[in-house]
Amino acid sequence: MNILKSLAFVLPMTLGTMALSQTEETNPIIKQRMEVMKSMNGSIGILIKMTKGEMAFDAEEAQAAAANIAETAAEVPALFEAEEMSEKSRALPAIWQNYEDFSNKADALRVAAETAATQIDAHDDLGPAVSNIGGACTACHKVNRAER
Amino acid sequence: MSRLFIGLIVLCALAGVGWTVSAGRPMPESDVAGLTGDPVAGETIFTAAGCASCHMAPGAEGEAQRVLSGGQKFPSDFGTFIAPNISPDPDHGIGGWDLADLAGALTRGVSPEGEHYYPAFPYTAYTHMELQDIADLKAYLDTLPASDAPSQPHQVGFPFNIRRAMFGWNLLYLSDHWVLPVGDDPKLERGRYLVEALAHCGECHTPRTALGGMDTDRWMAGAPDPSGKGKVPNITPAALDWGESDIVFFLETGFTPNFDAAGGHMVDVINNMAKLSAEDRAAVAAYIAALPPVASAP
Repeated sequence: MNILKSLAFVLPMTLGTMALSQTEETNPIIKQRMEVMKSMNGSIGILIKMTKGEMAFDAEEAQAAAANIAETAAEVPALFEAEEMSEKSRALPAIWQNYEDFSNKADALRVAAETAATQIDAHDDLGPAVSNIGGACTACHKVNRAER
Repeated sequence: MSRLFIGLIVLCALAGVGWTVSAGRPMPESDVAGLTGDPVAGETIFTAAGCASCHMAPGAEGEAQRVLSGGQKFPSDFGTFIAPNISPDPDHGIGGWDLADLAGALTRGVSPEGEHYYPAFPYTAYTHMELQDIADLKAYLDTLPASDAPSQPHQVGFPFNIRRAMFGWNLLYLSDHWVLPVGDDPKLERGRYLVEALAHCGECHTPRTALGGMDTDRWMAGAPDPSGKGKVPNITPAALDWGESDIVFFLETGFTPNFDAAGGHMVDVINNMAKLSAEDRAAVAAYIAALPPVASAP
């Protein structure tokens, strides 16, 4: 009876911790990387939704979204300087095997996003901006991010 | 004694028959007689078939992707295959090949000398290619820069290094039947040609049998990544809930409906798909959406 009671008490706690460990990244630098990627995801989302017509086109908002991608892309090389990996992290060793190439790829994204930030004036400018930014994202993901 | 002697003769005869039968048969010249290739149309075939994705040098970017010098490694359960030089160099590439040689390689998996290729080269998909498309492809390949980089031997151990064994494998897995019946819908037919023949999507997205053939009962239901890390996703409607327009957008930009950007080998596929016409991307999406749902392996 006592065993059952303690089980009833301990089991949810254990499960809770397990669930937490699956959703939470504890390494602060990896956590920061994930937040930066999430921020870029939000910004490109704005551009894509405007492209598809799911969101009204607003030049200022689109430019701000592109500028945010450029700013966060500039932070990427420093965030990945330390060779930190975890179970949740999808960073591949390739990053540190050729860190210069990785940094160049992050810079290519910064350039593409900066260009977009100055060139998006009309809805028709969104397509090329999304393509160029997407090309820079995928060029890096191709070699440096693990598939799920 | 005489029994042993007769037994030996029978064994030798069987081995001889086996040796003769298992040889690869190049395509006869007469099969492609009268065909002339258009290099402009050939570039589209080249792009859709993803030739450069595997045959360009490892890590090649930009213009260097047009030099098909080979050298990329493809690990598998059977060993590591290394893509050969298929540039127009007459000695180290395939510059000395004629149209029948190329058509035999693509549709039969056989070299001009009658040697079997390994199915890391997706001839089981290319076997569906129209001969006119192969003529166009040949005309385009001939315009690419030559490379004198020697092809490297595959790193494949016994017994998989016996190429004659591919004869038996081909009996099991080389078929001119399409996987998905599409009726006479021209859009789905085009999508099927792009997916099943040219882009050879099933090579990564379909799980394989113990012998390394396509498990067509689980067509496009996802598979372990051959590199050993991660999984290639199930793209049947059982797992992929994207609309056709989502698939088209992904093939054009690399962005999923959640605005995630693709990675891995799919990036090469997207770079190719983005160069195709909007109609072709729509046809691919229609085909994917029409796949029968198959649950992912547990």
